[in-house]
Formats: sequence, structure tokens, C-alpha cells
Amino acid sequence: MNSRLIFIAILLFYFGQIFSQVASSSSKGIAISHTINQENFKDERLSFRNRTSTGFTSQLSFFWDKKNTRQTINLGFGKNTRSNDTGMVSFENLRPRLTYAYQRILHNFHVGGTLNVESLLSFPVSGRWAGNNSISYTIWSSIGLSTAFHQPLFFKKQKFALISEFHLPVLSYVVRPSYGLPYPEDFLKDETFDFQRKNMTASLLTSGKIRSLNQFQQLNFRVGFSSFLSSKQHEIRLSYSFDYLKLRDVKSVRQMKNGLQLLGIFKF
Amino acid sequence: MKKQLFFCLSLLGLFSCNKEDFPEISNPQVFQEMWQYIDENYIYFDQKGVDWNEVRKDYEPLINERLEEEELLDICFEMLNLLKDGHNRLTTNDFDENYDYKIGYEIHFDLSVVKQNYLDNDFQESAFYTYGILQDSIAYAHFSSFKQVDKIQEVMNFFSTQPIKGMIFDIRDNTGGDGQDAVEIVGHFIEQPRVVGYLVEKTGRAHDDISMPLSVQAIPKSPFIDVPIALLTNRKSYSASTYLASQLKDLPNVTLVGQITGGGGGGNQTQELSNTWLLTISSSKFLDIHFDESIEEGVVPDVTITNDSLTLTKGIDEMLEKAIGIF
Repeated sequence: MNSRLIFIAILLFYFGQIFSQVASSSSKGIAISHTINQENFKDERLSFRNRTSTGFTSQLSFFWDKKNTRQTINLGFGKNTRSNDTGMVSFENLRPRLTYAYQRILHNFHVGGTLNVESLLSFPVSGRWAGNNSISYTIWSSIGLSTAFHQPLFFKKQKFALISEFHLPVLSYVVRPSYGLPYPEDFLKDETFDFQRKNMTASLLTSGKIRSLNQFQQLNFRVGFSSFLSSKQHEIRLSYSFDYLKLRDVKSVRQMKNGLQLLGIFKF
Repeated sequence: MKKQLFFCLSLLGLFSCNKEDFPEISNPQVFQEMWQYIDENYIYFDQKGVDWNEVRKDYEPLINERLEEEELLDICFEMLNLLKDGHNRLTTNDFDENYDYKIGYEIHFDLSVVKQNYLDNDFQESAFYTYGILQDSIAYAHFSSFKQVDKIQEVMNFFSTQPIKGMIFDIRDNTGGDGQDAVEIVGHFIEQPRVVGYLVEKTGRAHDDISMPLSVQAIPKSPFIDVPIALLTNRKSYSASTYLASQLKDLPNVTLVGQITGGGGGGNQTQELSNTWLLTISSSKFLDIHFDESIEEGVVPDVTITNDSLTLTKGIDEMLEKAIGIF
């Protein structure tokens, strides 16, 4: 219980940082990206198989620069399409995310921390799926490291940049179903079973466990080139994107995405 | 420029390096995976009286690499059936079978006989529901499945406007559906919130890793149906139907008529094995209000009667007539 309180205190501190610094921002911008990716996925709550599918991730980011700092709020949504699979079932995976990053700018490096709230929802798609476990979910909130590297390049007086970004949550609060059926742990301690699941949301929020890097790994890595469009330094960026998620648990889950990301950055 | 071009090509190479991950899996691996999944997730071992480790000793020697898929399937399905659980199912591209809980029972029911000879073709129906008024102002509703919780309200609203002296709920041949439908139905027959049973969920790998009994409560629903009720059951009344029968059995104005139900009051879960088979097993169980687990084997009616096939072909539903006779 103490660990949960500490974690909540850290969350409040981070949100406080957002609202205290946004008001005094001196420049800001919006970034919109779309990533086409190939996904490798395995959730042992539903299947013992690895499967590969294609998919996309769309993101909308807002950022504020002030002196030597940058803050970013990022909203993202990922979805896979069905794989060309020989099995009787495919899985539809949805991955909404909300990320906040606070970075110090040190020459070409941005170094800081992230706070994110994310979930991975998986639905078996099959007319022959007979069980009551028609969803698996992983919901987590993490704090971690965030770095970026920007190297300006010039070619025939045209400015480019080599960009690399890396995000690694180190401590996470993770919610997974208690065991086989998709009920969170606290839902099964409630003494009553509510078929309409009215009290499920509260149980979801309180049923998580604190996970460190050895149990829950999630990292995002991008590397790509930016091209600058005008004196206002709007950017178009093409990047290779790698996302990895793994939770070691009684029933583990793993998702890995390799993608090609097209990103537009508009400063104002 | 060449370096940048090389870098871009490298990125594309990384992007395309994934391939369909569909490894060959050996027959012993499939057997081990299936045995272990059942061992760690099935909830009725104690009640079924099956020593799962002994089962492994008996069946593992039968498994080898030379077996064709059909032979492997036969052995695995036979092993699964030792648990005698109708929710346990094995599904492949060409095979989709569960344990047959109806074996040994005479089951004769024909809804068209009820429609023609007892409702005089004056009834309303939807995909899963048939309802109307029988002779002597007795309401009749047959539910072939529990899949339309909103339709229950419509049926009850209809009966609340009729001058009925009793109601027959017929769940013969109803093999289940959504357990919530059963709780909703009970809600129309009670005036105060009532605990109708308990659910127990599997919470870990060990056989005794289970939750405490979680009470299931029915909430009063409008319209309140305040007449004597007969619930008609047969051995094909399975899963959510057994669940309903166990909940109604303890209400003072309800009489169960027919055959013992098929059982299977709990919940189940499905897993895809590495060779693409789908394995479904019971992973939660339902206890009645006396904490009795035996409803897994079926709910015994208050009045036992079975239709005779010959009589049914003559248009006579003896089970229904018995139910009509109690009002």
C-alpha cells in the first residue's frame, strides 16, 4: 500500500510540473505522425503462439520549449490488422497511450523523464472462440527516462537533421487480469459478483502491481532524418520506429513493433 | 550522400526482417501444453474425482512423433473427456466437439408440437424466444438460448398485461448463453434483492488457487410477476439454463418439472495451443445458495418426467401437460 501511495505522489508531482510550466512557455508546436508497422505479439492469457501482423500507430503531440527545456504531451493510438494466419483465430490489438515528457536540452542532446499511461487491449476474433475470456488487457502507468539526439546536417545549403529518440520506463504500475478470466484482482475480493461489472472500473484502478525493469520492459526507439521546410523550421521527418513491450507474469504478454514513421512538426 | 542512402536502405532492411512466426511443434509438446494448461486452469478437479497426474502417466506413453494429427486429437480428446465436463471443448479446423453430457438420457422435445397443439399457432417469437398464452390463462415462454437480455423485458411486459394465473418457463433444449439473462429473469419474480448463488473463480496455477465464493445477487425488476411458476427442463438445459434452474429452485412459488438439467453452471475460458487447436475448459464454478457444487452435474427437478418419443410424434408433450397440471 505504501508503494502505491509513493507512486501516486510521484504522478502528482509530474502533473504539477506540466501545469506549472506550460503557462510560461515561450515557443510551442504540434507534431502529427503516422507509423506503418509490423507487429509480433504473444499474450499467454489467450494463446501460446507468436503471431505477426501489420498495423498502424497515429500520434498527436504538443510541445513547449522554454530556454533549455522541452515538454511534450503525446496522444497516440495503435491498432493492428488481422494477420494472414493459418489458425482459427486472429487477435485485434488496440494500444491507446498518453505520454508526458520533460527534457533538458544540452547541446544536441535532450535528456529527461517521461510519465505515460498506456494500455494494450487484445480481442480474439473467431467464430469458434467459445470461452468467456473474450478480452485480455494490460494497463500501465510508468515513469522513466527520455533522451533525444539531434545532429544538424547540411547538403547543398539545405538543412537536414539526424534524429534519434529513446524512451525507457523504469518503474510501472501494471494492471492485468487476476488469472484466466478477465477480472482484476480486487474485483474477486469484493465478496459480490456484479454481472453488469458496475464496480469493475474501480477494481481496475486498484488492482495493479508495481513492476520494475526486470518484470516489465517497455522501450520506444526512433532514428530518422528531418528535412526543414521554411524559416519557421517546420519539419518533415522519416524515421525507423521500434517499440517493445514485455511483462513477465503468471501469464506473460509481449508485443514488438518495427515501423516506418512519417512525422510532421509545425512550430508557432 | 552514399552514406545516407546506405542508412536508409538499412532501415528498410530492419523494417522487413519480421516473418510469420509459426514454428513446427511436436506431438509430445502439444500433449504437454494441453495437459499443463488444464492442470493450471481447470477448476473442478476435486469434484470430478480425477487425479490429473495419474492421467498424464496413462496417456503420455501413447504420444509419439509418428502419430497423425487425427490420432493425436483422438487421444487428447479422450483425455479431456475423463473430466466429464460439457464446457470442455477441443476445436480444430475439422473438429469441434465437447464432452457429451447427454449420454444415457432420453431427450425428446419438439417446439413445433407446443406451437401447434398447445398455443394453437397463436404466439409471438423472435430468434430465441417463443411466447404466448396456453389454455386456462397460463403464460408460456420457451427460451432456446440466453442471448437477448432486452427481449426478456419485452416478454415480461407482455405477460404483465395478461390475466394469467400461472406461468411456464420452458428451457428445454436451451444449451445456455449469457448468465446475466438468468439473473434478469429471477429479478422479475422477487420483491426484494436476493442472493441466488455464488461464483468461484480460479486465481492461480495450483488446483486450490481459487477465490472466495462471490455472491450473485438478483435485483427486483419491473414488472413483478406474482403467479405460480413452473420451470420446464430437460438434460439439454445446459450452462446458463442450469444456472437459472438452480437460482429459481429455491423460490417458494417455483416448481421445477422435467429432467435433470445438463449441468455446467460455471464459466469457461479458451486458449489457442501452439498447433492452432482451440482448447476450452471450465475455469469458474457456480454454487447454489447452500454452497452446493453438485449443480455442475445438473439440477434435479421437483417433479421428474420425461417425454416418450412415440407419444411426442402423436403431438402430445407429456412434460408440458404435467407442468400445466400443477396450476
